[in-house]
Amino acid sequence: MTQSIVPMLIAAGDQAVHKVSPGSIRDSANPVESFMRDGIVVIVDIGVIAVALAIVFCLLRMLKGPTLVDRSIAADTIAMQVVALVILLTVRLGTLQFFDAVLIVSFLGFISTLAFAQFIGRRRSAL
Amino acid sequence: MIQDFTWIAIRDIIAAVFLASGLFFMFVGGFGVFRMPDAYHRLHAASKCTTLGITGMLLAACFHIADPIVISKAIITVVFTFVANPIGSHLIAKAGHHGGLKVWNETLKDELSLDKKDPTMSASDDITGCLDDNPDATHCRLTYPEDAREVA
Repeated sequence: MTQSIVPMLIAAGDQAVHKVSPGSIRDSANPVESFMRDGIVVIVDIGVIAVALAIVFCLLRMLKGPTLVDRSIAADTIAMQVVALVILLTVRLGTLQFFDAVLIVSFLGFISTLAFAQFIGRRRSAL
Repeated sequence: MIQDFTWIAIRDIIAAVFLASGLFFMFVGGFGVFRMPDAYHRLHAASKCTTLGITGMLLAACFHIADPIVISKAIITVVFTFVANPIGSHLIAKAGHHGGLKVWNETLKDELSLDKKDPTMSASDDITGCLDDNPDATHCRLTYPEDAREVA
C-alpha cells in the first residue's frame, strides 16, 4: 500500500514544482531582474533569523508569563510566526508543496485561541 | 536603462517591499509580546502585528510567485486572518477581564470595570446576575452536565 502511494506523492510534488515559475530560480540576463532575485533571497535569509528571534522572545514570555493569558497570547503569536516561516520557505524554494500549511496553521491557531479563551472564562480565573 | 525594468523586475521590487514590511511587523510583534508590561498591552502588540505581518508576507508571495493557486489561497488566508485574529484577541481579553486579570498600574482608565460596578449599565453584574456567589445564575455559565450538577 505504502509502496504504491509514495511514488505517486513524489510525482505529484514534481508536478507542483514544475507548474510555477518563481523568480528565485529564474535565469535572466536582465541586470535588474537578477539583482532583485538575489535581493529577495537575502531578505528571506535575514527574515528567517528575525522570525526565529521573535519565536525565542515569545518562548521566553511563555516561560516567564505570570498568568495563563500571557502564555496563551504567546502560543497564538508562535502559531502566526510558524505561518510566516512557511511563507518564507515557499518564497525561497519556489515550490507550492508547503503552501497548504499556511491555511491549516492559521485555522489551528484560531481554534487553539478559542479553546484557551473558553478555558480561561470557564475557570473564572486568569491566574 | 529604463527598458531593464520589465514587469518581472517591477513585480520582484513590489514583493521585496511587502516582504520587508511584513518581516518588520512580525519581529516587532514578537518583541512586543516579550517587552510590554501588561497582558492587554501584549495582546495589542500580538494581534495587530501578526495580522499586518501575515498580510504583507502573503502579498509578497503573491507578487513573487504569480500563480493562480498562490493568489487564491493567499486571498482566503488574508480574509480569514482579518476576521479571526481580532475575534480571538477580543475573546482572550474578555475572558481575562472576567477572570480578574490585573491592569498595569499606570493604566489611565478601565471603563469595563467601571461599567461592571455601575448598576444601571448592561455590563453590570447586578443586571446580568453573573456574580460568583449567585447560585441561580445558570444563564451565565456553560451548560455542561457537571455545571448542572453543581447548581442542583
